[in-house]
Amino acid sequence: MIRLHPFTGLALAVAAALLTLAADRWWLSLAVTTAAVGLAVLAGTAARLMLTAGAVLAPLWLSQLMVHALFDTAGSEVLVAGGPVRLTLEGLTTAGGLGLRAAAFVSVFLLYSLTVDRIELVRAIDAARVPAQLGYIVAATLALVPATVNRAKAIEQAQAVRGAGEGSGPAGWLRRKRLLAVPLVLSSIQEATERSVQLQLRGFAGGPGRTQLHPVPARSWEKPFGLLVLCLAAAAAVLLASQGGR
Amino acid sequence: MELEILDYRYPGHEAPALSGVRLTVPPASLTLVAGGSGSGKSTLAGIMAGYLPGRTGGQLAGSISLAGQTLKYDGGAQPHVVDLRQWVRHVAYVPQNARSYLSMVRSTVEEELAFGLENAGMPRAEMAARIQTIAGRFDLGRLLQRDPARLSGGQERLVAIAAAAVTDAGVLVLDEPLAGLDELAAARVAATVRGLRDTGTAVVILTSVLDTRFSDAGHTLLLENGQSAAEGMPAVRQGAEAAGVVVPGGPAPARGGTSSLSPERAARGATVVPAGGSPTEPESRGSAAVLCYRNVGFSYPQPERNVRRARLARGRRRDVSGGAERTAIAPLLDTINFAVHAGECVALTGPNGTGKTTLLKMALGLIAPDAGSVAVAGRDTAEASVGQLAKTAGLLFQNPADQLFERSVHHEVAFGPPGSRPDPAAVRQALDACGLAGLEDEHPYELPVSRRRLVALATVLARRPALLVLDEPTVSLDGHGRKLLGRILTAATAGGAAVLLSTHDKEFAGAHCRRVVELGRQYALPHEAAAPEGISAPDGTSFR
Repeated sequence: MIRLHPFTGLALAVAAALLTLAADRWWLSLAVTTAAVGLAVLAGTAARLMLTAGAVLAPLWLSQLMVHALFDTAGSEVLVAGGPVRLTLEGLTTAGGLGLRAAAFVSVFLLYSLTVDRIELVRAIDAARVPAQLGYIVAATLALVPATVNRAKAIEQAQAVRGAGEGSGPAGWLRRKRLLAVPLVLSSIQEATERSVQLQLRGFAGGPGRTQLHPVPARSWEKPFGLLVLCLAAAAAVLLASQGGR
Repeated sequence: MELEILDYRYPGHEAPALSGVRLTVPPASLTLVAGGSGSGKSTLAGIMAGYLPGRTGGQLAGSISLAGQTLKYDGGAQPHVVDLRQWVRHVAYVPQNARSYLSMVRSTVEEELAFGLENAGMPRAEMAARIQTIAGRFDLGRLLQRDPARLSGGQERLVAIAAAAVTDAGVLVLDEPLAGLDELAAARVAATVRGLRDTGTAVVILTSVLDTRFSDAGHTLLLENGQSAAEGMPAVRQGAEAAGVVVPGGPAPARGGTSSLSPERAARGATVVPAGGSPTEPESRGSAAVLCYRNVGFSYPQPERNVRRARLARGRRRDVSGGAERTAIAPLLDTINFAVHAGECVALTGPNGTGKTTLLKMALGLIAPDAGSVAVAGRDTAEASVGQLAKTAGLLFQNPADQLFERSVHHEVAFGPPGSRPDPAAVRQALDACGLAGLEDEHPYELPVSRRRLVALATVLARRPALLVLDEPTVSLDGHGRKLLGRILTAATAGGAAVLLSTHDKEFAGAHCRRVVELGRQYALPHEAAAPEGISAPDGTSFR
């Protein structure tokens, strides 16, 4: 697969999400979701994309089903009724449309986050002449999950060698996680405090004249292409939204 | 740089952390500030580095002169806050916890070295040239494309010092720069420090060990309880031991000797450690092996991501050489064979990054060997859970940050799930043995590093392990702490416990360990025949 500059990938993701959200066409949402899954298959991250998207979307879909479809009082075409439940075709259509839009949005950004090189993204942000702190916040946020996983592993090991690693099944798992929670938060705060002092002492809060040892390479066409895609998406979104309907 | 610290107090503390300390650091000089745990070294380093008092609420009375400017402090609650962006151009400071110096938002050691230079806006070509020079000086070529998060403790320190030195700041402040480094790396750091001094840098070294490698320091100061106790090498050497500073080559620590840390215990004259439980397997009793490594082999998996990055780096980086050839790695551990028996203390030595920590963690089942087997009390670690192994073995981690997680010293030492909590009497004994009486309610992270290390040791002792596995236990310990450790080892082995510890401190190993197992020198030492129980020792097990 072609390796894009992190900002080109971001422009494509934003354009797809913008178009889908603003246009509100079920077929477009479905097409964008399918394309995201197809690209994930090509990138070899389809399983992770589906699993993560499922974890994010399942509660979202359930809540939309409950809010818009299961207890709908306005719709005329009743499909199922009994007690407080009144499932209507209109409610189901609304929930389905919203669900598809959410699926497109989530899968597009998940695809981006699973395929972008975190370090290259940080370098690209650094080079974009934004404040260094913003770059660091993005880097630290992106590094948060692996850093927290490592930290949790270290604490779990420290606890396990003191006999806290025992117990199988959900009860044992729950007990270990309960023991882990407070130390994990406290040590993360401790580490962040210590590191923030050291970052300052390495001139991190420096002015705008920062340089880079290895700038992220970008092909000459990528910047105009990214801007063009964003403009086209915005224009198409406005056009589709003005036509209304689904 | 000139400092005159009449008085420095941390917020909420009545007693000053530093008082009456004067220090002049001329260009092209080497200054050694020695002191034990809690002597005020790190506070002095913080003031020199510019972040104390800053906005921490600390109160400083005195003055600091740097690069032609003088800041006067009146001891009030609203001190000057220095502009760190300007300050760091003149002063680079590597803290005792070298890991915290690394930004951890850079993917390779090479980029970590560039971090400070990038922030200073240095042109690429100059950056690359400087990194190449510093990498050569510190022999970091092999590490340049490694992930900084996956370095060994000694490598972390080496990279941090290199990252400070590469900035070319006029004043270089190094807190315990040789702690945890192998002999070669320590010699290299010492030589580089001298080289930097000779080219005009003012180097200040804060240490709890009067290392002979820095005996040519132009100025030496001994700190004790926040005050200047002696100046000049002869006077400092004389007062060092009483102040908790280790003097290598001094009189060998007497086994079971007294410590000046706790007068009460000194009066009693003997350290009591919680008695180790007997290994449960009959075959492990007596002189049989409590811990046994047989044909152990191990390689770290090469992360796919780093392989790809190394490949990318090869493709597009021609300005810094020597870093990107780590795609095919040799095994970290290969055919390791040795055993540790009840009642003996064995030292594991070897250069940084040769797998000492990996080998020690295998004893608790935290890392599984790729080949061969590890047995604790006759039980294969592959067939036991960490919790089951922890009933026999206790592990002191290399970095206390990986071991301490509770809110007070007492909670930390007494930690355990229901049914596996240490006995209160054993907790008391462990606290006393580690000189922590009276500090039970302190937060572990608010203690000086040496004490923090002793808290971690107490957590191990309180569980009465029959096997003590200690990863670099002397690192960060001052002289008092080392004496306590020595006494604990003596008492533990006398009580029948087996001890395996990793260290670069050959003097400590010589004084307290019966045998030394050296990694990284396979087939170098002809002592295989002396190995007990017919276990071959291709890694060079030697016997004293």
